[in-house]
Amino acid sequence: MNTYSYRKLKSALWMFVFSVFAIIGIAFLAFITVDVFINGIAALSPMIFTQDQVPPFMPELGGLRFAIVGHLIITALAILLGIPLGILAGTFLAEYGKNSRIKTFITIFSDMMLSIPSIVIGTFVYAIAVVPFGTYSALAGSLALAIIMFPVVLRITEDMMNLVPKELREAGFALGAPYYKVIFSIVYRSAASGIITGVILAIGRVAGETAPLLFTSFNNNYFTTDLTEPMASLTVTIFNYAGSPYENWQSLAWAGAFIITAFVLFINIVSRLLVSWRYGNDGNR
Amino acid sequence: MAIGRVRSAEETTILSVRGLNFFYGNTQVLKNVTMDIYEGRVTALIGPSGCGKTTFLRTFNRMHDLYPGNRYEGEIIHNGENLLKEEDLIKLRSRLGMVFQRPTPFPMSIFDNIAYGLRLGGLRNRREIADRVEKALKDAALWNEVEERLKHSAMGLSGGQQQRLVIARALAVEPEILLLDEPTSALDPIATNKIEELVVELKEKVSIVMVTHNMHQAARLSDYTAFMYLGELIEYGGTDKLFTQPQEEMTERYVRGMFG
Repeated sequence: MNTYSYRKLKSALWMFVFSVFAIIGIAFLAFITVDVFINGIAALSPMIFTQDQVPPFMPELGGLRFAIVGHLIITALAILLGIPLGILAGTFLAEYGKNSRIKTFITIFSDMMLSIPSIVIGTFVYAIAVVPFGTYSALAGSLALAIIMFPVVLRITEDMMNLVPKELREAGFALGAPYYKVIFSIVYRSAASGIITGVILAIGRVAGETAPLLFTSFNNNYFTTDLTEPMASLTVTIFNYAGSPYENWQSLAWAGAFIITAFVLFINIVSRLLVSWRYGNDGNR
Repeated sequence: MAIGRVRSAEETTILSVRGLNFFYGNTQVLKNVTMDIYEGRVTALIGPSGCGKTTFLRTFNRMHDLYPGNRYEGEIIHNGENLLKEEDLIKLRSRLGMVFQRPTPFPMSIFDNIAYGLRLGGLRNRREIADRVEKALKDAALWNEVEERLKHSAMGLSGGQQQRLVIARALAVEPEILLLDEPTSALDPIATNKIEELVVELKEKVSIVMVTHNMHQAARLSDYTAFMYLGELIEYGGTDKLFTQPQEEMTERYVRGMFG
């Protein structure tokens, strides 16, 4: 009985320790999120989405249209570049290349790429896509984000495809299907929701990046859709506005922070729903 | 080593295996297997785990070619051609259907599962595809259960239904030979029963080679039985004879349940 109550005490003690640290961690996250939401929502107005930057000290607040549109363009282009590439490369590793030596190299490099600081990728793209053309550009920004997405998408695609049972592929081959058909009609279909979830998380990952854009798409005080010119993005604009001494700009920075946080939150919720959709039903589509 | 040849005047040979050796890398898994498989009959491959019966089955439709480091020697003659030398594996595999231990429905509708092989074969006519899907499902004794929900996902079927679906999928392309790799080992007794009944009906249409670890199943279903041990064919003959009057001591000990 003594040892029993001692064990119970020890268990309760450890549970207390774990809970305290969990609460500390969550408290900080909640503090940041609540702060962004309160200040951000307070700063929101329809003008944010319809107007562009106005100089400081003006009576009007101005808006973030130039940065929101720029951000969407840069991110969309990064998705178009990074995701197909990542999925195809992941497919190579999971299927055609699974027994090859090159797979080891690609895996090591892509794992390294996963942990390279994004500012390094920004400076790299600066060297290969900004210096040669003599100008910052939206394209360079998208390229930097695509490079960040690539290893994430590759890894998730490979992992999800590896989860598809060998027998399912063999069943396809046993019916006389060529390899590419087995991949497209059987493996991709089986792994679809997992791959989609991963892709959405990768989008969430780059949607909030600032560092790789500082040296690539840079910034623009005016609304533009020209991909070969510097283009504003929400994150870089937040960086500039939040550090400025002007109250109207600081208020816009809060609004921008809210918009981007809500967007990333939305993306994460969607991917969670996809996961439960995958594991929660009988596979009807 | 026994030569697996059964003298029987009225049987037609559909596959004749001659001196088959198979290697995984440097490990020899099949050792000089020679036997004939007869048309319209059920042939069971039995033996303890690791005896090479599944490996043997998978040489017929060249599943081993999917993985590197595998090597065949010898011949498997079908219609005068050596299957081991066949270049066109797609064509070969449409003539020899295969069903696996665990059901392998594709993540698509019941209809599309069956139509998969037909479409691969180049069939485009919707009417004809629908007719052949219906026929295959009827042949696999599944039609009545799924008639109303052909557009539903095949993943929603029970394990036994999934296995009959997979058999229907294999039958749809009208193979000459059906290879069954322990088709009931993942199923409950009732589902097993249905598959067994199906196997007996199907031999009117297609020759069946079946791996089973269940001796009673081999005894109930098959016309011929081959007993394998450590990669060798120990004894091959009519099922009744092999189970009641085995010629080899090893066979006798195995069918009496003394090892395995």
